[in-house]
Amino acid sequence: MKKLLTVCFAALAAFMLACNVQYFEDAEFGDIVFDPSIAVVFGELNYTVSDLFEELNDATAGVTTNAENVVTIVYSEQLQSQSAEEFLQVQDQTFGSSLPAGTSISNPPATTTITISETYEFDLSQRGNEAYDSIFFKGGLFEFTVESDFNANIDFEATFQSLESNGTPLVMSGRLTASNNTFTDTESLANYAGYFHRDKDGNTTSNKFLVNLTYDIEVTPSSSIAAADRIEFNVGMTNTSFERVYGFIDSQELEVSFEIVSFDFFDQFGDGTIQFADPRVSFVFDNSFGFPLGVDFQQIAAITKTGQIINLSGDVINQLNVVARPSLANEGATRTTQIDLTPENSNIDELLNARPKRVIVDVQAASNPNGIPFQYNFVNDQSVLNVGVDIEIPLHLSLDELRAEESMPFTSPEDIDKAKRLLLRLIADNELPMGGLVEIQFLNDQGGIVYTIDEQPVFEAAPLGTNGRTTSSVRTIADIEMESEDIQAIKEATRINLVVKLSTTEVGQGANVKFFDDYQLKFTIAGQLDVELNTNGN
Amino acid sequence: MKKLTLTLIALLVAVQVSAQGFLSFYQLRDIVPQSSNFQPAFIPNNSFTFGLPANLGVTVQGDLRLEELLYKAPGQSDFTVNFDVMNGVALTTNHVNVQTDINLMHLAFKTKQGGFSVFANIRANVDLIYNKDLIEFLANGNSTRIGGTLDFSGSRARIDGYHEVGIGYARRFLDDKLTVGGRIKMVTGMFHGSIQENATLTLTTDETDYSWHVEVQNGTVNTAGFDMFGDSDDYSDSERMQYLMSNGNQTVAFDFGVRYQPLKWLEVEAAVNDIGKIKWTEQAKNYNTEDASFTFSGIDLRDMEDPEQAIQDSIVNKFTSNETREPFETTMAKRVYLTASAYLTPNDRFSITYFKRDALSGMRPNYAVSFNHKFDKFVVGILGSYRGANNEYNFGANLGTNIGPVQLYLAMDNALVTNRPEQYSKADIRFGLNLMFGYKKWIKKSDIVDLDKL
Repeated sequence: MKKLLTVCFAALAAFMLACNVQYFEDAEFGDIVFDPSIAVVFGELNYTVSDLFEELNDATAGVTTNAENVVTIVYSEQLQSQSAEEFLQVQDQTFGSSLPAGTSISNPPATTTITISETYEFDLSQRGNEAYDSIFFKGGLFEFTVESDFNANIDFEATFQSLESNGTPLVMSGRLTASNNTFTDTESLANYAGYFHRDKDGNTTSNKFLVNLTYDIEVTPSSSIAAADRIEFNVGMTNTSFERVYGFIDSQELEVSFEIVSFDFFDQFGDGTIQFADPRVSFVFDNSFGFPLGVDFQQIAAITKTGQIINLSGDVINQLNVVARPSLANEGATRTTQIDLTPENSNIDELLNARPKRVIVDVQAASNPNGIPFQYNFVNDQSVLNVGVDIEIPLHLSLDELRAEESMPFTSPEDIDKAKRLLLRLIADNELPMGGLVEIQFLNDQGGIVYTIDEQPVFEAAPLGTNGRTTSSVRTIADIEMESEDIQAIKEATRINLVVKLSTTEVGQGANVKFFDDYQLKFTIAGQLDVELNTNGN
Repeated sequence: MKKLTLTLIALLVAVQVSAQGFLSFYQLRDIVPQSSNFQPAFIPNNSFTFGLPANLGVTVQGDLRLEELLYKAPGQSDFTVNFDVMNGVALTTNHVNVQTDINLMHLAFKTKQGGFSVFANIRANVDLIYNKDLIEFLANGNSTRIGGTLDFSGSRARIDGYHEVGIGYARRFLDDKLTVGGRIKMVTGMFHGSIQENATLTLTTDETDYSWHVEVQNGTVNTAGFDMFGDSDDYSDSERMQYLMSNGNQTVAFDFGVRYQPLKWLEVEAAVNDIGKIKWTEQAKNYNTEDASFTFSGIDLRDMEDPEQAIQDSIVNKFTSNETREPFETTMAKRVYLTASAYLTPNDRFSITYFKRDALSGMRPNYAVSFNHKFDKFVVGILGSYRGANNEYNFGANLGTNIGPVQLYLAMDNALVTNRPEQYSKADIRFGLNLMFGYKKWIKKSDIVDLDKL
């Protein structure tokens, strides 16, 4: 028993003396901290050429492809539309004459009747060389006035051969007496057709208005007439409107005046140069008037952001530009004429390479221009001249460190405090013949830069083959490393400003490149994120 | 007192982490009746034993030291779990084991040829195997394996809780040279959780774009009984108690042991315990992930309102998961003890012990060398144990009395753990109190000294 007690005592003493738990004294459990570095791919951004330029564009331009499948920036704008009634008004017409008896009779033994008849040919009033063959009236007032100085009863009938309704000429008749020697009548011109293409002899002409006046003079035994006694008449056509006009309207101006085309597309480009190889500005005239037009580009000028004005020049300014008309057989149809401004006939490339803020367009058009063969004219009330401008800029160009900026909202991630280091990897697989140096600016509310990721190549231009297409995709890997203090800096950012310098393949050798619509630029965004998470949720 | 409190706290903290052993306690053998939990062929030295419900054993064992688990940064006083430190000491495969045994009742009767026992225990085990890649991922993420593969396969976890009630019998043969013992017990599972043994998970990170290729196979986690231990109002206290006492997760299990003493100075022993399978039919839940092999290449970032959420959704959607309530079967964590002992004198025994527990495949065995000296009324011993090159050698001690009727015993596999326990990766203690009667009957007459005659 003593041994047991001795052993127990010794063991307990050794146990207590040896006990050293200093490591645990005053210690508490802190948070469990995870600080792994996670490498993960976040996702992909795939862009076709069209996508890229749609991103750059603010919807004022369209993106399409041309026949060569080269992506093309397209602006379309309707400049003016002019209707027939705005363009052509038929003048008021008045004409008249008198028809004497030509014989004298004095107190005949019995009542004697003498018939007098005459056909008159009047010329319609006209401007310049206007010549109407026919006018189909939609409205207007026809007025006929007759006055007699005979001391006898007169029965008259006036046939207006140039005015027909349903194939029947307009006829007005009446009786004049010595005591009631005037007569006035009116008729609406609606539904009347005016045929002015024959003279009184039946020959083909124009602008002729034919009236046949016939009257009977009733000379009683108690009355007499003199040879000079006559009937005087006047014809008027006023406030006319027409459905159709045929003939020749001579030269009349349509002004496609002073329009402005806004080019917001270029707003985001800064320094550097852009050279378009074959831009084209097309004026498209949709003409349903039955006459040709001559177009005069009075002023087309580009105004840059700095206010510099570059005027259009070249052959297109001086040459005769004709807008064709539909043929008479195709009356009612629209004939489209496109007049192109190209680098071959103008300095339009110079205007667009200046990255204009606005383009001023001032075009004058006149009917029946000099220098072209005579063409028969017609106008109907549905005729219209629409003028539009289509600007096509095929992406056949060269870029030399062209600076582009794109600003977008930015909200720092909620748990950004937990990020201790970020290696952002941008992998670009680029088929485009265009490379880019990218600088990323993080801006605060006041627009101040709180952090900048320095400029570095993010996507390199693909090489060109002999057929003008790129031969392969080029992969570029850009690593952007941000330490803890850098990450903290962007907490205050509210916007990101991407500053990109773009250069095309072999721009140093003056090469122009084409952006075909099947080219793709794919960004894979991955990163290594060093995070620190602890068990209390911070 | 403060030291003692802190010692206990340290041990309890360790309990939350790992375990396996009771090698030192094993050396008390016939002295302590509860040793039959490990070797059914042990026969106590007295006629009748009543084990008080104050017999408790806890083993905590891992492949990292406590200071590597509960790390204190230089100049800091607070503990933290530092995965970088853990990664620095991690092996290709790492083990953490916790084993807790509570002996609720033990009755032992010694007979002329052997002995009977009736017992009831509550046992809970946590076993975790994690490989180097897992801890490296927790420490460093996958950035150190860009262009390579993190293979989490082989990382497994298992947690068991059950109680067992049984009877045992041991009998001597061949002039007491051979002792054979066996126990049969009714095992009732209380809770279980395990990752399917052949589950695999790999993560390959592309060296250029960091895309992830993930392969998952056999991704099933089986659980049972955890709902009973939560804060859920789904079950009343009486329902919980009923479940814990008796439920459908029952099986019959066996322990077998044999001792043979071919020579007077030599004895060999073998024991295989916990032979059986539990079929978890009640409160069973299975969390299944279908086999998957996919590459996560990110999301389409254009027109994406919430990329962070989209990434999460994109990965989660690659997995097809479901929850079922299918019964499942688990093999009990079999324990094998092999011992060879040399008796230098009848009271001095030198033993070599091999111990292996198979809660999860691939668990490493423990080895121990021990020396015990039996005094008249008690036995003391020391022990050295070895678990592998990455672990320290542990020195244990044990003490058991047979003075009757009160028996006190204490055994530790790592007796030095009280002195700067942070240096060690193992803590093991088992102690208890028994009421023991009838020693004299079994003492040889020649050994009894008649004081009156003297």
